[in-house]
Amino acid sequence: MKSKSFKLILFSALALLTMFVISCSKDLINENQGDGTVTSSNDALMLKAGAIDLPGRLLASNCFQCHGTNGYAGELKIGEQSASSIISDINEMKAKDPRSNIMNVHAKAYTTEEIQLIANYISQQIKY
Amino acid sequence: MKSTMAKQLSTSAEAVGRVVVVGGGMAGTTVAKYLRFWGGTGVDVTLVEPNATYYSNIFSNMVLTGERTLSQLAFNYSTLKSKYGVKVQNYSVSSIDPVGKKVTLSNGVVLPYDRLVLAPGIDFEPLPSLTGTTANQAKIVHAWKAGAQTTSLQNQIKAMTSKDTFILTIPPAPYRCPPGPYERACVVADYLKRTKGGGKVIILDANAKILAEPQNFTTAFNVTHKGIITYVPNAPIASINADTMTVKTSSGLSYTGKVINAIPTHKASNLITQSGIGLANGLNGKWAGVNVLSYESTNLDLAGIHIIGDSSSTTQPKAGHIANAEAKVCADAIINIFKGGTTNQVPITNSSCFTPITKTTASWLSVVYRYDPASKTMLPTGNGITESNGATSENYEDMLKWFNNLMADTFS
Repeated sequence: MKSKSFKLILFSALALLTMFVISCSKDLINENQGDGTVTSSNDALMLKAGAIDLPGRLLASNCFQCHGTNGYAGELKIGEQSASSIISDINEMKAKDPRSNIMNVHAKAYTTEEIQLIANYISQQIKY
Repeated sequence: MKSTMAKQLSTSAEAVGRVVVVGGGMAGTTVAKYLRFWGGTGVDVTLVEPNATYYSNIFSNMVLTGERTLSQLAFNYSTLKSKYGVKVQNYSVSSIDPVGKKVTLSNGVVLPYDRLVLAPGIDFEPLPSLTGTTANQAKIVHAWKAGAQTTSLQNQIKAMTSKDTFILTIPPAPYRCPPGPYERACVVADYLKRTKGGGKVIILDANAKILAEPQNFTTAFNVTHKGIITYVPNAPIASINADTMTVKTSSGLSYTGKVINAIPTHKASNLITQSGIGLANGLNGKWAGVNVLSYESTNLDLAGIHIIGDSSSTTQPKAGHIANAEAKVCADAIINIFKGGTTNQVPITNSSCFTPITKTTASWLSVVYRYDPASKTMLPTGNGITESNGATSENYEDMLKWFNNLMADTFS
């Protein structure tokens, strides 16, 4: 009983730590992409230098028509997710009936490596 | 070690170059946005589009039935200017010099370019043997480019009664938006049933069969809109008499209606086909031949000129959603070229299209295309061309999200 609750606390602490690390690294990415101040359209463009050039950009852009530029649509948003979460979502879609799930058609079209690239790319983009 | 460094250098190199984009539809607007978004401030982008407002063809069938207004389908280029620093010239193109690499506009401005992207959409062949008074001929509209003709057709449909017939003629493939004409027949039939208590819709299709979502549209014609829609395949039009409102097909059959909505045969934009501009030698039949790795013209005389969207000759459909995808392939390729690198060797694009079947239900069609090195074309991959399992209200909700997000990815 005691060891179970200890494990739970340990697990929660680890989860919190992971979330903290992820959020810090996201901040770092954002910081690396510019000085944070947006004063004109050209400065806004400079924000994205770095993560925007990751491999997987063109593949991931196939998602943007329905899920928004960089994945940040108002509805159907896929941005702000970890790469592993995106990958598991896509893999889940692969098993569904294509004619009832439009995402099945898309999930089945990419190789495992391509899905990894797409997930890695989207997980590192900021709202733009 | 060396190769890693070289790779890092190449990815960190800044893209520098001048791009002129002609045409502010789905393809042209997307390429202008993404050239700046991905390419950064070193890529100088000028969008040339004579109209300050773009009216979306997607959802324009819903204007015919009063569920949308044209002003709700209006988009402009202000975000491209303010957020992405795209320069916009609201003038038309007078001439293109592929050797000197410059575009001259109707206001006399000369725009030199390193890369020119043409996204001028489609133009139409004249209707075969259209007769009648000028006033009556003016009633025969296509409404296949959203705008004044959409309003004209809307008013003609509004004036129909339950005793009247709406005739829709579909041109031979390829035409813009493969499911579009069948969708139009469905929403007009639904409108007549709901608001007039009945009416007739006759589809005269120049093609041998339903070209998109055959299962969904067969059900829509034979079940959902039974008694209203009559579908006639293999019925290219031979003549239209606007005084008697009669359409004659090439097999000699005559159909008379209150409204004739004739969609003419399509061709690449006049910008590309007319000899004065100097690009006609880039044609592959009626369309512009392109290398789908970059959408650069396959004619070596037109090196540095890319053609995206409906004017190009590819294995992909002519439609707004996939035009957006083609534009991203083109933008990515040009940025890589400006950096001294090579284009992506396995581009993937996708086509997705939601189509209303009634006021509350929709179906969809989706397919992903992958580059095939053997044929050098884009071929369906994965599950292939897939249509939804019927028309549902859930699909209708998804359709609204799809439209908002697609337009935002293109215009903002």
